Amino acid sequence: MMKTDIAPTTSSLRPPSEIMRLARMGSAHQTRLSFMRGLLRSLRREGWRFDRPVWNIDDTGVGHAVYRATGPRRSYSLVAFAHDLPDEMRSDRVIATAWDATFALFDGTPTAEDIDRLSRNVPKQEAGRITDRELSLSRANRSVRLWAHVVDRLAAGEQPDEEQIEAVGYLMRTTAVYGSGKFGAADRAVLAGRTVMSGPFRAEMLAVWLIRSFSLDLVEHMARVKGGECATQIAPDMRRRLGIGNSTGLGMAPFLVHHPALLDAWMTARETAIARVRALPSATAPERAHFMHCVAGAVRNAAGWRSEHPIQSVKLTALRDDLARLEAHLATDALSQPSPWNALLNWSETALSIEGQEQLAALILEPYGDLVDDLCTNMATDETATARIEGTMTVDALRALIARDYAWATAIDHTPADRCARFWYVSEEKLEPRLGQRHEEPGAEREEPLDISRAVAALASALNDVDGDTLLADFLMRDPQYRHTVRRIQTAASRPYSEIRDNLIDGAMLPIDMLRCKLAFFGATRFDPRSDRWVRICLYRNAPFPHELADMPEDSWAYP
Amino acid sequence: MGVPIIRTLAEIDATVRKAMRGHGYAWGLAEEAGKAARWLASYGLPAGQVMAELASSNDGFGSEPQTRTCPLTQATALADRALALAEPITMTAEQPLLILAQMGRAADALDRAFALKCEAFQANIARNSLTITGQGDLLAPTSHLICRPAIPIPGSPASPAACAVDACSWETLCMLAERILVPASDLSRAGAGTALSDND
Repeated sequence: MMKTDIAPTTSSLRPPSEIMRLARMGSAHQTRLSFMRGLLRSLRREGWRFDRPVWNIDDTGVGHAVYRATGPRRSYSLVAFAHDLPDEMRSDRVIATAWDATFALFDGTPTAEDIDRLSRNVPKQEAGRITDRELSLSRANRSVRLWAHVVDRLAAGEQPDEEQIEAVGYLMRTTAVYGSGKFGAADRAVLAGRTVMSGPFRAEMLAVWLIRSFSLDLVEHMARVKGGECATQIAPDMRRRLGIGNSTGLGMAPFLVHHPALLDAWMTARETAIARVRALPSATAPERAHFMHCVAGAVRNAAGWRSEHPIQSVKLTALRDDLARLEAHLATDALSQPSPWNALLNWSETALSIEGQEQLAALILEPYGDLVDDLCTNMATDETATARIEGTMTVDALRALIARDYAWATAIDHTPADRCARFWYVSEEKLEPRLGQRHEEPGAEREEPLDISRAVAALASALNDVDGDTLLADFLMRDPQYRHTVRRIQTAASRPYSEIRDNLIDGAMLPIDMLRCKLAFFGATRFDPRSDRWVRICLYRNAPFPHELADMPEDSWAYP
Repeated sequence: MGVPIIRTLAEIDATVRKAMRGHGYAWGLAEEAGKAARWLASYGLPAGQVMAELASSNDGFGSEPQTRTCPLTQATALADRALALAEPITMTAEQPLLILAQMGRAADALDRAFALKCEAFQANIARNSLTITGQGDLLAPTSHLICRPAIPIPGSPASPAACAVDACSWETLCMLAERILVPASDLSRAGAGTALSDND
């Protein structure tokens, strides 16, 4: 069946009232549409080549290297700086001032002068300054225990212990990857029209993929220094099992709220993909076999996914149970009936936890790259149109939009202390988003506008005293405090997935739910919360390395 | 006027947004200022000076500027009605470049063209296009600014490149932006990071 035959209507997509809740967003899984998978497919299809023109790392592991990706029209280079970091300075938090390694993604091939300039700025991260020749700025810390283990084993001519590789999953974890005009880096608009870079976070995803290569090359370099002639390299299969870690805190959470049109584009793409597969009348034998292979991969992934965090531990147990239940259900020949994917997802709504439902929704996309991968091109959006308020709209029309799209917000009573217990702000210390306790900490008067449900409720109340024919331009000239909220409501009018339908200042709100949703769109796996606002993940686990990309089957690595 | 420094469009947008909130504007108007500054900078116009000038009156966090007369409110209210603009309208304007920026953003969003004319300059704005001519002081107030719908004239496209910003203006904006920051407390530090060691 061609995708032109599969044209789900808006009503066949899962409703925003169901999927835009934090509990479900916080159970999101990577899919075929995740940014890193889309990037690798694009690089492979365009025949990109990769090399390492510079390796200038000394016997103490200090120096720099350059990793270059060359495509039909352009090239990009990761400039990596390796440092000697004392253990006591190693921190993943944004307040850190030194790291094991620092990086910039350069637009083209850097000259010696470029590398010299970058060497004076990139190691300082936020305290340095890059230019619009650079597309991203990032840093990473080693996984201390796995790093030492791998160096020791390789130096002795042995392979690392499989269990330890599985338990950690990466040699380095990035602690920030900045792009889009930050600290002098090129504005996103600079990348407009570049095919490989046209999706969301593509430059950042390319940088992280090349950082993974650097982490493996560096560990093998250190093993050679230590073991000399005895040292060996990691076997390719085991090498591929090492991804790149990432450690992320609150700074990422407000992004989804600040970019409602983008959030809608991501969600719409994913939900349209799910709806296209659900609309299929049957599944061929190869499609079923592909799906079953991925289910088995998901079972192995869930078995190896570890987290000590109490919330995630409960969810992981539920996921493992869900997958066992799914396998049992599939053994009853569930895929042989008409509209098998729709029937399967309908079954999951009562049979599985939310974690399992979202895993299944991601899995059914796997056999259908030809049907859904084109949706990746819809995941970037021009936010120009949504930045403008249509002031010729009447107050009555706005009231109707609130009633249709924000009944969930006006239904919340924000008066009890716990319903407005938090406030979002930007810290003076590191210019990073933080979450305060409204009734215990100072600073609520400097609150960032992330109190969406409360603000909509306040606007709805204020509109009670306004004549329905009043133009919004006039209302907002008089009452500009509602301007931010009116903009959101107008944005949501044609973008049903633009708004998280929960109270973001509630005392029970979990920021890790927002982090997980965004990171799943990146393609992250193995979510391991370290608190309610801090999470470690793994990226590119099992993915091909640059030198393997052309020779491995396309996009075959997500569920090995 | 100070020496220019180089800032990206994203930095200009974000800093002006925070500065105008720090100055006392509601978030929604502060966002308009950030986007307007980005628009001006993308056409090589003096975004930093326009915004520093805007912030030079009604100073003080928490004291809402006189919204009916302030140049940002005037420009924003005009742009809010851009869809209904059928006939030329004439106005006084303390900061004609703010009117230009907000109508320019409306032209981008609505894919329409508008013409502006005052003593210092005349301009045609359309989606991703600006033609501006004139010898006068772009920053000077005007008592006779005409804004009307127009036929688009092919002009210069916006540039995404980092651009020069007047250093004194930038310093003013950064100081205002600091007003929205909240100092760290023991409670905030305790909640921000992981509760566990990163040395593992």
